[in-house]
Amino acid sequence: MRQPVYLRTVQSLGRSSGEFDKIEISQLKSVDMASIACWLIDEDEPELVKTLVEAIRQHPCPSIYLRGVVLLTDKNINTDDLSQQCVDTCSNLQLFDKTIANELCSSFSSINEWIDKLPKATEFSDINISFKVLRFLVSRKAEMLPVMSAQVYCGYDYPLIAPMLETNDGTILEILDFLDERALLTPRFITKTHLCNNCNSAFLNFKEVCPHCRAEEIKAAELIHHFKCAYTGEFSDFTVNGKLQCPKCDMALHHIGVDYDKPSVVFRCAQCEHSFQEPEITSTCFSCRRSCKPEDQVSKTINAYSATAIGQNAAIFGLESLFTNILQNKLKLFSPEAFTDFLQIETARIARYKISNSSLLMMQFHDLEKLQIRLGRRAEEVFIELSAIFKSTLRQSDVISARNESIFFMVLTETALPEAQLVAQRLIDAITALFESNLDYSPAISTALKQINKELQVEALLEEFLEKNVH
Amino acid sequence: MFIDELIGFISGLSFWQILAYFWPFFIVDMCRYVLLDTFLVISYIPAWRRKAPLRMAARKRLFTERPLVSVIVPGKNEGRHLAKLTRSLSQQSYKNIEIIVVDDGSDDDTESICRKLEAVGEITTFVSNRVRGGKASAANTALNFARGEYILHIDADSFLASNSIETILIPFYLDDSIGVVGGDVRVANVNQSLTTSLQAIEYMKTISTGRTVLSMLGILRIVAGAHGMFRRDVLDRLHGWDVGPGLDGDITLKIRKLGYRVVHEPHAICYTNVPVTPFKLAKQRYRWDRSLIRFRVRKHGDLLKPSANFRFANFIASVDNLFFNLLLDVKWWIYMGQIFIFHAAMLEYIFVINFILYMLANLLEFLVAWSLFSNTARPQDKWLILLIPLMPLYTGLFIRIVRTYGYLMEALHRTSYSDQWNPWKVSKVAKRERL
Ligand SMILES: [Zn+2]
Ligand SMILES: [Zn+2]
Ligand SMILES: [Zn+2]
Repeated sequence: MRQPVYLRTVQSLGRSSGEFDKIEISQLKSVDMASIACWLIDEDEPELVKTLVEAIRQHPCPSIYLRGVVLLTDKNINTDDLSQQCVDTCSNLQLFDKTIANELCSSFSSINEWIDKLPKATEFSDINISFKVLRFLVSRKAEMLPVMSAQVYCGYDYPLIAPMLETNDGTILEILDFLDERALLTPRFITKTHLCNNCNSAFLNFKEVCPHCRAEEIKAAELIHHFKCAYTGEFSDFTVNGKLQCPKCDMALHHIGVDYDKPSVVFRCAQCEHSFQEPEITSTCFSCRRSCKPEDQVSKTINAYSATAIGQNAAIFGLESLFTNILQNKLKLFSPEAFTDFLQIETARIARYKISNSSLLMMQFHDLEKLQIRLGRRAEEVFIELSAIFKSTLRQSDVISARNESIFFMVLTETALPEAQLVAQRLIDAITALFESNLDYSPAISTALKQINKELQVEALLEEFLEKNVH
Repeated sequence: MFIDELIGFISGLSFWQILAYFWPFFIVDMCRYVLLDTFLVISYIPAWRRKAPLRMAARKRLFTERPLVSVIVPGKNEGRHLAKLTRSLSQQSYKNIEIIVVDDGSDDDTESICRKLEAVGEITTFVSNRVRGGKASAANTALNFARGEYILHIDADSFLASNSIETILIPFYLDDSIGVVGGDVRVANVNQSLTTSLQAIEYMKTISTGRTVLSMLGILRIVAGAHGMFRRDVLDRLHGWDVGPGLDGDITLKIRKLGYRVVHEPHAICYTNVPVTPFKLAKQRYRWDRSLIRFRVRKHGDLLKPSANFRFANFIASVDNLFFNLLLDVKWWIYMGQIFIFHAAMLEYIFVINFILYMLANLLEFLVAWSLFSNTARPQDKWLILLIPLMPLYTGLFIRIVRTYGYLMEALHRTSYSDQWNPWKVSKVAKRERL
């Protein structure tokens, strides 16, 4: 029998949890995952709600991050409250009763059944954020609607997904685009927005400025044309004691269209006196303070998303990693097991003959996932070029293996440390050049080199390297 | 044998017969257009040379003071011509200018052309009046935004010689009582068709020579809208232009009424595109000619009446204009009637002799005009002399008939009030107010 699980922060020990389990954030991974029906949060403080929901959604285990979240609140249910929108359900009920609890559990049964279908649902396996978003979307079987929000950079938020991300810098839009481009999601046009071309912020101050000197202080004047005498001047020339009177012929103007009309509106700059009809428009970003012209802004379509049939399938069986796939084809990657075996053989060979020097090169790309999202369709081309770099820099006798899409291990056979150092540097330079020239992006790459000898403890070394480079 | 008969006919004529058969030529056209113009232009040239040091001093003052000149260009559907005009403005020897273009409700790509020229700085200010208001209101719109001490009104389909603005400003520095200076207008598309070539000769006579002479006599009554430099303070006193057509002549007369002098500067040159086909030319002249009735007679009839602000020169200016346009037109028809009724037997002789007389007159007028501005003429213009034989037919028949038709229509029906040239709403008010 599944049970709701109370999740709480250290700060809010005081609230009663009745007969349900009550655990702290730090105990998340030790909970009995198979028996969770949904998460209960009983907090009024939006910040605490946010912390708890983020802890759930950012967890790599599908049985944790995909579960429904119920917010118990004394406050009115208010759709404008972001802390209420980021959970699956809000309830005013004082939930200490078994029957109500059962009702609640059954309302999440469809989600829970879907989670049960997943292979490895209780393992900490979901690291790829795009994949997590896809799974989350599919598990909810509903369209994700954008919500206008002044809390996020890009002005639109998907409050249910947002807690899966560590930052609200617009990455969410990129992830949804990425999934959309792969036909995993179907977009439905909702609206569009303009973002700062520097920081993707939607909070832009639009201003009409003088096209001549860019001064912001400009005044609009309506022109009036008096038919009888052809005099044409600004509205203020015609106003006498609140009435319209022609300054040329002193006649009173009564009816627009009969004895006068307003042919146009013209602006005048307070700084340089320049007159113009079309002011230049600029926008200044509230967050980075840079100004840009409307044509330089990033124009973005804001969609509602639902999963396609392909997306539903991929959510269960996994997104094949694009990069590793390409590398597999181009470079003949060895599996981690085969690699470890080969490394042991190589260690033994060197120890025995004492004439060779081989090196172990470990390399990690940081932010590769982010880059992959940003590249969208072009990711494939870039990864093909990347594998070409590996191929041309390494020798046929070198052995490559990948832990995931961003961590690589290579045995450079018959290569002493100084030469291995050169090889590593050549790889980094070529990859950096590729990204910088094509994408205007500097990749963060960390490397480590070790001479292969019999003291080398492969697993320990890899652990140490990963430990050092994770965040 | 026709020649023999013709010579026989001529030799048999007495003085009184000559006068009776050819009085329009000898009494009117020869005296006014040939003898007077020739005499005045011949005296103008040495006087102009004598004034060279004064002009040099005036030029020096002009370039020291460097007043801002606002070039205002009102127009409708003129976008395609503007690049040429703005280029000629950017090449002026006098640099302190701003260019204000007002689009009077164009329905073609004028606005986008002008916005581009504005963006690159070829036009200082571009105002698009979405609702058409007529040429006067477009000019007044431009005036509203002009910041210059001098206002150059110019047509969009024309362009300037590179020293034109400098040259047209100098008269203001020679004489404080000058309110407006008319610039010379020459035909840009001389070689486009026979119609344009003939107009080129006509412009030399009526504008280059004609207006120089009127200016010398102090009775210049019109400054061409295509090319006129106004003192800003004078335009402000008048609050700009009144409803057209014929607003150029109208404002010139109003400036004269304020007591300012109006002069012509034949050395400040503007080239303008003239109608290419006889039909389009007829339409243009029809419009111009009707304005004579409307403005000189109806609106400024007071210039002919003795009154408190009566000025002799203004009186003469109006008389000259009325007489040599309206009355000469009547005279022409009287003469035609006379010949057909009383001298039907001698019709062919009289026509041939008239043709020769007017051709010779035209030749002389061409030479006079040439002597006036030969230093600024384009080399290809001299070949126009070959077309002189056609001029009696052009001015004597074509222009005469169009003019008569125009006068008649306006006098009888006030057709210019319903002219498409002004928007309907303006025409309606103008007619109601009997402007
Ligand atoms: Zn300005
Ligand atoms: Zn008025
Ligand atoms: Zn920004």
